[in-house]
Amino acid sequence: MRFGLFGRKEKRGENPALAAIKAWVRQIAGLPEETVIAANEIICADPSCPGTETIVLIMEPGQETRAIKISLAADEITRADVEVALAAEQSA
Amino acid sequence: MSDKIPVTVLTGYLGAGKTTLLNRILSEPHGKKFAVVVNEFGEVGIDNDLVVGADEEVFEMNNGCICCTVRGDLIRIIDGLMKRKGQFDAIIVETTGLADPAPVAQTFFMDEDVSSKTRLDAVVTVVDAKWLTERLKDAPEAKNQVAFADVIILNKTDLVTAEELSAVEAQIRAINPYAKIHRTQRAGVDIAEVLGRNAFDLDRVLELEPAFLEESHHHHHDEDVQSVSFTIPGDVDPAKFMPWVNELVQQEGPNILRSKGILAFKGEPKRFVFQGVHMILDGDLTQDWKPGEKRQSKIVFIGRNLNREALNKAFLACAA
Repeated sequence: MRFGLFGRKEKRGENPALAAIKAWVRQIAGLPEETVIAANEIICADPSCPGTETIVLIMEPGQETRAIKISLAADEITRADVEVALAAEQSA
Repeated sequence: MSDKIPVTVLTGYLGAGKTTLLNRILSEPHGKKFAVVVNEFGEVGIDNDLVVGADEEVFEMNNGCICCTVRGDLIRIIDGLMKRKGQFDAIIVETTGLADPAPVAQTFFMDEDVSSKTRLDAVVTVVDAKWLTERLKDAPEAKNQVAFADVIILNKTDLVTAEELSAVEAQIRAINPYAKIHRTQRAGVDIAEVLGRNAFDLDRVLELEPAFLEESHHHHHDEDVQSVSFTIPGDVDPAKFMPWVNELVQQEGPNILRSKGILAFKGEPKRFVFQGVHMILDGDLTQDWKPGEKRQSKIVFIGRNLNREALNKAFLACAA
């Protein structure tokens, strides 16, 4: 896992791509404000991990956290990718 | 200093005195307000308006890879607390006695929202002077909590003899020689020694650990978790060191609980300081080496089943 490796996170600033992804997830899934959505781009060098991917955690009150995973960097993700990932998660 | 809310993580095995310390922090007249995240409501109540209960939810973001494991409950709770920003000065997260501190710490590096609003101040571990030796034998969680700590409250010292106390402190030192140890009864410690430590701030590594660059004593022990440190009495070549340490934490990350280093890079007037949790590393150039100060490079790993000889050989090969 090389997230933040020798690069101080404060200098990176907020990632607008992640904010957009969270907004799409909330909108498409119709999630209320009480549901916390965390989106992070993970660049993992562990051989068992798939390299760069963006993981969105959906935390609905009183329910187990759900995750959707998209095998793209955050700034490559479109609304259509989020729709596909959400549909796949819901049918799983 | 940033305006991020400091977060202190309070760990310790069952019955060590976490709640006693927490109540002491909350009741002393320091004029600060704390939001407290608790995972188990013990027999001793916590008198605070801002207590938030949580179920420890460890979430593997990826395929079980330890470095991608975060605490989902913390992400959720910190999001909620930030909507009440201004009502408190700091956050204290009390874990259960069985909790692994690593996913808690990693949450502060991995999650964008959490890391943009809060900063991990220190991991404080409370241990029971009478029972720690037994717990180190039978409870890997207790060992991890000692290994991970920045501050250790060695509590209940009134229940052991002076010899027993020295022996248990030596055991702690064998696992983690760099944590600040406070011997206490009923968790009686100056609160300034527990809060506001900035233990994860690269600029403070030297300030917190003035002995860091001094030769450390070798501790004889048979613990599987131990610290190993290596020194090069001069400069290292960053072109050799960076790829090596990257690959090392990538391969050995699950076994490395904490890492720290202060390095003299060839031709660089500033010290390079890094610290890490499992596979996550954070490093930067910080203060200048002082005029006349001996430039040297030292790294420390606290971990499980580390190959001291192989690590030493590989680090020495990074010399400039």
